[in-house]
Amino acid sequence: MRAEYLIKRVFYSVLVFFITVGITFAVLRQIPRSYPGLDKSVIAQYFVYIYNVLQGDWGYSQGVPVLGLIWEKLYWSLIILVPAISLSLLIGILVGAHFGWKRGSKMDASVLNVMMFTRAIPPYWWAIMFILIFSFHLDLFPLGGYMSISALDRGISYSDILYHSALPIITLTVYSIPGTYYLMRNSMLLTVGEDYILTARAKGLSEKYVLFKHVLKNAMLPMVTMIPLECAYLIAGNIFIEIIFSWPGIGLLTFDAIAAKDFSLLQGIVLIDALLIIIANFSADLFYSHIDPRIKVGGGNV
Amino acid sequence: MKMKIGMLVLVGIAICALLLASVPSAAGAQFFGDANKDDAINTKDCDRVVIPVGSDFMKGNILNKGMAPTASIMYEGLVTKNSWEDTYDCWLADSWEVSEDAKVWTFHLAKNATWHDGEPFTSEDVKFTHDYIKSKKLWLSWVISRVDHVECPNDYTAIFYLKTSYPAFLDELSHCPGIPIVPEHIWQNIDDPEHYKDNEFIGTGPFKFKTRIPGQYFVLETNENYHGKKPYVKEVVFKVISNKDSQILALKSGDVDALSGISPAVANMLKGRENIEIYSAPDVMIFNLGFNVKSYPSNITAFRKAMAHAIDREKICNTIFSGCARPTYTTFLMPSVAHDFVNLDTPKYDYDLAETKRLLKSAGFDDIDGDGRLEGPDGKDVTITIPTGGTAAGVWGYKIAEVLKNDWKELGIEVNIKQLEHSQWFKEIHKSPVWIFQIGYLNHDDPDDLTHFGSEAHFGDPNWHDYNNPEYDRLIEEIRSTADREKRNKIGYKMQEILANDVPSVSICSADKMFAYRSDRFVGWEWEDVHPLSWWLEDIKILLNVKPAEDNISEEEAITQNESEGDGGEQKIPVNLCDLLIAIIVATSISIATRKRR
Repeated sequence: MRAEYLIKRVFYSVLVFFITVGITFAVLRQIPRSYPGLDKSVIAQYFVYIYNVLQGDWGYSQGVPVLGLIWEKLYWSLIILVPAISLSLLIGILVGAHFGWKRGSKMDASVLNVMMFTRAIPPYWWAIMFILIFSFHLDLFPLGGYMSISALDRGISYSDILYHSALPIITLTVYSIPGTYYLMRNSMLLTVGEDYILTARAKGLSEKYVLFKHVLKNAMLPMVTMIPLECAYLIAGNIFIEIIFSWPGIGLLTFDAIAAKDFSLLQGIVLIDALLIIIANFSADLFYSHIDPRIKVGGGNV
Repeated sequence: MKMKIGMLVLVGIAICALLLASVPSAAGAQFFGDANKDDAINTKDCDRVVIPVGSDFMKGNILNKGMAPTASIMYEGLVTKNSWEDTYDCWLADSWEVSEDAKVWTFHLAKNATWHDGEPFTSEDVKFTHDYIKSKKLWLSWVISRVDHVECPNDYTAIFYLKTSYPAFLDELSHCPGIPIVPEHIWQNIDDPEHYKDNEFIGTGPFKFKTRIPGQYFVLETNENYHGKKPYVKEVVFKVISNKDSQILALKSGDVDALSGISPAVANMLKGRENIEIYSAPDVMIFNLGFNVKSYPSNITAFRKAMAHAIDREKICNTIFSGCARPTYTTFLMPSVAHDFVNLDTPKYDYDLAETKRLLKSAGFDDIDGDGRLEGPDGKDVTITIPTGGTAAGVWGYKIAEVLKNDWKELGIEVNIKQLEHSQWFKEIHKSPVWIFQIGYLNHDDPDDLTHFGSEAHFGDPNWHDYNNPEYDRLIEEIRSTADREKRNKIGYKMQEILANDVPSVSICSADKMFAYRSDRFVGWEWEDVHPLSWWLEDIKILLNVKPAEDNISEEEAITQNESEGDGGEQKIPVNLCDLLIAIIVATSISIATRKRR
């Protein structure tokens, strides 16, 4: 049963990947420029392209292989993305759960407003404001980059990189908390209204027991599907953050590729972004079926 | 359920820790080796100029990068243009002579020049560079397409034999883009220069490559064995700051020492701040209105003349450039750099809408149906699409196009502005009647630059304007093969007269480029006694002239002395603390997770 489910998921993930490859191929072909193998038919070009992608030949950007370039930058993006995703999930879930439980309080209303405010403002504004306040005026963090100039004399140190990554991580976290918070709070509200909660309370269980054993447990489930969405959302927001902080990750690479009209690089970036999201989705699916016993092969026979 | 969340957090933290732990491998092992060298530790802040760049500097190699040697500081060409005085300065060539017919160019090379790796520089390298660029069919080969072959009678003499006589040959060699000389002993082993990633950058320039941190720093140090005047500063660091606003903040806080290409508004904001000086390079950005002489309606000469009268240059200079630009009326060549080569007697297309209307009417453009819009000779409403490119010049071009759009609307001409990426813009200008372009001032300084309008001027393809005038082409051949300055001047005058009558393009204005620098750190950025090749901070002549500010030295020495007392311990403790912190987090998470599991 599980194997069948797994195979199905893998099949769909691969399908999605090829659809993405097809779309990027088609869209970028619309831009007039010269391509290798223009003399062949479009279908033939497509298969040559897919063959090359699978072979790891993603083309060249200014003489440098695209895949290698992306690989190097991806790593730097993950340094700020992974902590930002974990932190925003953690804080968002905690805050969302708390105010979902204590819904209707004055505090709940004000937090909701603050979250709406935070979300309504684009990430680059937050980035510029944080730099202006925390880096320029308070001098708590560096203005950007990933290494201070003293690294040229003293060598790379982890603390230096950690210090440089702090503000981008904080900005990304602030930017993505509201999303998690909304979902968690709504999920809590829905769960609290379920009949089995009423039953649990009617049984005379303590509020604490109801919260931890019944409400939280079920309200958490949609959060798992939230993670891949969050990833996609952050990858997009990350472009602005990296530009403003001069962080040498995929976001900055995307910007440079657009500025330089480097389409083979852009194509590679779109593919890697798609791949990241597909992987996140896939793992979320697996994880979800693991924690929720109701999800088995294709649903239906629960 | 809770256990699973604990596990999730744990996995997250573990991934973070892993990522951090493997930093050095990704940041480039070559850096790690270099930075720990003992000699690097003693570099004082006052010897190190930090200049912001928008993106990573020099990603590939010198021959595929393009604008070398103009924008290079590690490599040199044979000669370099002295832009303000219409002469050439020595670079790798100590002196040079040219035959009567401008066909044989003999360069006497610097005898004490060495490559950065210690190998001596000889004429063989010059010959090799020429042969290599041609044999690999690099894009630079069009620059030396007129060269037939290069001969080396001895180690310090290189003779270029040209197929036809060409008096402006030094212009081609020196800039826009010019030819950098590369070492034979390195490049003879490189088969695929298009895809070659250079990690050493062995050149002969006054600065040599020291180290780089990808995406962050590119460090150059003084070449102690340089054959010419040595730089005052020990190191030049290019720091990647992708966002323009962040660059300005970095200048204000002292993270970087200079900034180029700031807007007049930013210049006003920075003006008067302590330790920040502003200066401007006058008239280095030159904007022109281009016509395509084949597309309708700009294929009608009277239409082009009419529109040339409909450019409100004063308004453009005052509103778009905040007064930091001046209207220009000459035909392609600029008096500020081309001096007496400019023919001032050509018809002047000043702002005169009455004249525009008269000319339009005479050419058959009239509002027949009374709807407020002009109908052309074909009876249809006149609509013009102006394409603008995606470069920095394109942004200015867009603003200029907006001014034209408003003004021309009153004439009854509808203008659409189409924003395009650069390569597409380049194609589109062959189909568009009107567009705006900017060429650097070095392309407006010699009658040879008038060959821009030759029928095969764009590397053998039709010129940007599709302008084709056999008489003009004949004059191009004539001026190329004329060595005498007076005669060239006369031919140049004739060419300008033809251009002024045919109007393939009209000049709009010349704008200043503004710079800001930290006066408490370095001085010598101003251009008064420097003759820079280009209008960037990454210019060899500017960097050679930059020196530490006087009061900066004593102050910095005091600081370094203070620092040296606590040296070593200061930077090591945080590393240990940080590692310790990670270890504690990981340990705690593991213990929490395992406890829950029981």
